[in-house]
Amino acid sequence: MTTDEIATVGSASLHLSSVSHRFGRDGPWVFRGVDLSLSAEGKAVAVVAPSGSGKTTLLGIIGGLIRPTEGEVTWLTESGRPADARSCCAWVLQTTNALGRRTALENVAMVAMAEGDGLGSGRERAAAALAAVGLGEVVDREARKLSGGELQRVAVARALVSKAPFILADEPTGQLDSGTSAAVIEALLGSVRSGGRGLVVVTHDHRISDRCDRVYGLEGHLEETT
Amino acid sequence: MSWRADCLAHEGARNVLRGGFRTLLVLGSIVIGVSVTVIAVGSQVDGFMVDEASLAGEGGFVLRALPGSNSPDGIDSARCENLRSQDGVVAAGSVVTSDFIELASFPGTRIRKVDVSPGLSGVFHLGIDPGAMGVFVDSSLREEFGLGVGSVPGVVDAPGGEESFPVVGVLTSTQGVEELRRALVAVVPPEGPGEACFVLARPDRYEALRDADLVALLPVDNSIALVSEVVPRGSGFSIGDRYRSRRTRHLWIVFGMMIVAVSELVRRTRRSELALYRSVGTSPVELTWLLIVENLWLSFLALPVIAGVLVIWVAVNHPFRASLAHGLHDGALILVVVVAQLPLMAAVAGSRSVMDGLKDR
Repeated sequence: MTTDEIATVGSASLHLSSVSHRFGRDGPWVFRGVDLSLSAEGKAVAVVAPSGSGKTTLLGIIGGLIRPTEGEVTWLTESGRPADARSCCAWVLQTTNALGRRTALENVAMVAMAEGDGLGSGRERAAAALAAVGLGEVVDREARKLSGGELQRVAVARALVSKAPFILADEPTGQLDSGTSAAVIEALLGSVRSGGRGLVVVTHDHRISDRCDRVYGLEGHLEETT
Repeated sequence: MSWRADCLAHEGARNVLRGGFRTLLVLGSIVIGVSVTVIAVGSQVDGFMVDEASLAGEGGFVLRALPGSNSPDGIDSARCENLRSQDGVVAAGSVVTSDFIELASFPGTRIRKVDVSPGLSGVFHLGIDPGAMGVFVDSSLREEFGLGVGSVPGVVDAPGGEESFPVVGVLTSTQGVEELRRALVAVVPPEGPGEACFVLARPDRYEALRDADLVALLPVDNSIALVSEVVPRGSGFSIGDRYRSRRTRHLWIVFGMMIVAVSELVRRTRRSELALYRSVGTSPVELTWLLIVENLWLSFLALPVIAGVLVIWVAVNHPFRASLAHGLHDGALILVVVVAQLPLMAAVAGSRSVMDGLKDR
């Protein structure tokens, strides 16, 4: 099963219009007036900023997990119809989130099942996705027994299985050594390029941002740096 | 884009089976909570039922008809005895006559001499074999005067001179029937008018029999159908009152809350796990269903253990079926609480930031 065959990915575009956010009614603004338009065409976008600048918050707003204080976030399907953010995004997170006592296969298959797959087809696609990120040998191993790098690749495999056109990645190499980071970056960018998805990654790892098509800085506002 | 029902059920089952200590914790709390509630409630209700003294005296399961007060036209012993053929009647019998007599061997000592119909033994568990006739003594008489099987106490003031009564047995209990205390009890055929009629009603039929005016079947004269209660309402502290004011009446709430608290503690440890489900597209409603499915599986797993505990309890204690039913009723309420609280808990969980949950390690 090739990367294309693991999931039939739709197309979508993302539009942020004058998005501003602050915590609490009187808190300081984390960022203001963010405008951004992206399409999923195998392109990768990096948001590079120091810690505490609101990168993860911006990603949460893009993914529909956080409601912005001001502004609008719009997801559109290929035909121009509004789409649900959750159905457009797959997540790869900084922390190695996984169901610890469940196997790597089950951790990936849950994405397929959450998208309506049956048990059989979900496990089949999950196995293919794990093989695609080099974890074909550990499908039946409990997640808690996997290394940090393997867990991060499980997260990438989850994104691969998802039919979502965008992958949102939050510091995907933040807790990994350089060797493991390289493998995760390769798996992540490989899945984006070959699958025709879009990638929005927030990071301060230049090994990732250097390989992205566009790089933005975030310090109070979003600004393209390349 | 949503979970199929079979996948959600499978996911819930896997989470339970792979849950390790947290599964044992919730499972244990359900087993303990439900078992203790069923046994405690069942035992207390059972206590009411076997407490014949209070039941007979306070209008419990033994219905009593007395001529003049409850049955103005008198009581026919034979008709009373035949009441056992009615649905819901366990046993029926009457005190035919009673009088005080003086024992020849203890001049000046007067005791009761009571003639009863055979059915009365079934009402008060007197320990008389069915069909047995003859004279029996209350165990207190045996201790006081040395009367027992084979003794032949004489009575000095019997009509026609001294009369002897060979004792054929000792009553095992006279609890609940004041008329038989410290008495020579003669079991006689149920004939003629009686002094009192006692009916042991099945617990689940007691109220209905009382409301149906069982006494209507008691009068001697067939032409009069009396309509009055055997034991008037409000004449004592009834078993209904005792049931309503029992100490165990809130036990299902206490244990229900305990299980809810344990479930909530366990759910808090799963914050990042639940956020992970949300991040892969699981809606709050689906997450609620997943939690409900998990608890249904947990309850399903707990049922055989609970059933095992209750089988042992029933085998050892032989409770009334009605007592068990009351206990099971309260136990089932706990399971309803356990499942019903989940949507609320899931709503609380859903209101928290998924991003925070995902970062929570």
